[in-house]
Amino acid sequence: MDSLIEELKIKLIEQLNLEDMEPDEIEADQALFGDGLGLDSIDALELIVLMERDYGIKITDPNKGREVFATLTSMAEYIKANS
Amino acid sequence: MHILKYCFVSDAEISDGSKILFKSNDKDLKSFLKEFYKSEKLEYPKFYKMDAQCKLAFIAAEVLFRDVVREQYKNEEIAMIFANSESTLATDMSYWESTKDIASPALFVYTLPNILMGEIAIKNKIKGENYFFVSENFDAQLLHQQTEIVFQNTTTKLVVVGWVNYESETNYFAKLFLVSKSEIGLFPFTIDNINNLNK
Repeated sequence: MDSLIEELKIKLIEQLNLEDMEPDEIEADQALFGDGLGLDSIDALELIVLMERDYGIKITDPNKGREVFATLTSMAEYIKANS
Repeated sequence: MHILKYCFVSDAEISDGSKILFKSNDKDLKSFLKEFYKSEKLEYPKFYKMDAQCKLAFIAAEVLFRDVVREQYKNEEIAMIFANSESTLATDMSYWESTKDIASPALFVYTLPNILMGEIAIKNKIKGENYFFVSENFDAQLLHQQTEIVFQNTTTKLVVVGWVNYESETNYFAKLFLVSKSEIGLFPFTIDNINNLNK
């Protein structure tokens, strides 16, 4: 689980062009949207693409997406349970 | 109409007409602009997400608005008039490439040229008129005419006007003017000055 979270941190920085950030600066339980990491709606779409391309997981239900993309921990848990 | 300030970006060089503000040995646009961004200690993380043409326009606008007493103008009193010849062709091609796998939403949002005005508007809280024209060549008459129309027909007091064109990482050009409706400024905003003021 920890290694998956570390992997997601690197993918997040790369995919979302968070060039000023280091993996260590992102907490596993930090909120990805809103006051947390401050991601926006386009980032949410990029995360959906990331899940599908890198882990073969399709997320089509917006409510599910909100739950899955809450934090890196929730993303990792969902990947583990669905891939 | 008078030019308050102007800015040129080309060949890894940023100038404000009177002097070269920044020069890099790295001719690659994205690297060179990132170098400038960091050297100026600009803090706008969204910069990294922009495509090259947006970064080019964004940095040129940052130079223009530096030292401007922004509070002198209401958000609705600032307009933007931009033009280029490429529209967003480079990003269109990248987006097209991405569609062969899974289309990239982050690229898609940059496939309309007026997105660069959106980025500048968000950063500088601009809510006035905005137009983006695509013409074959740099057209000073078009820029002058449209600026005049905006000043005559709206409550605009300040216009960011110019040319921002990105063809490749080594072939790019931005020429932006900050133009006031008033009769005070560096130079009159004339077709000759739009054409002839260069770095």
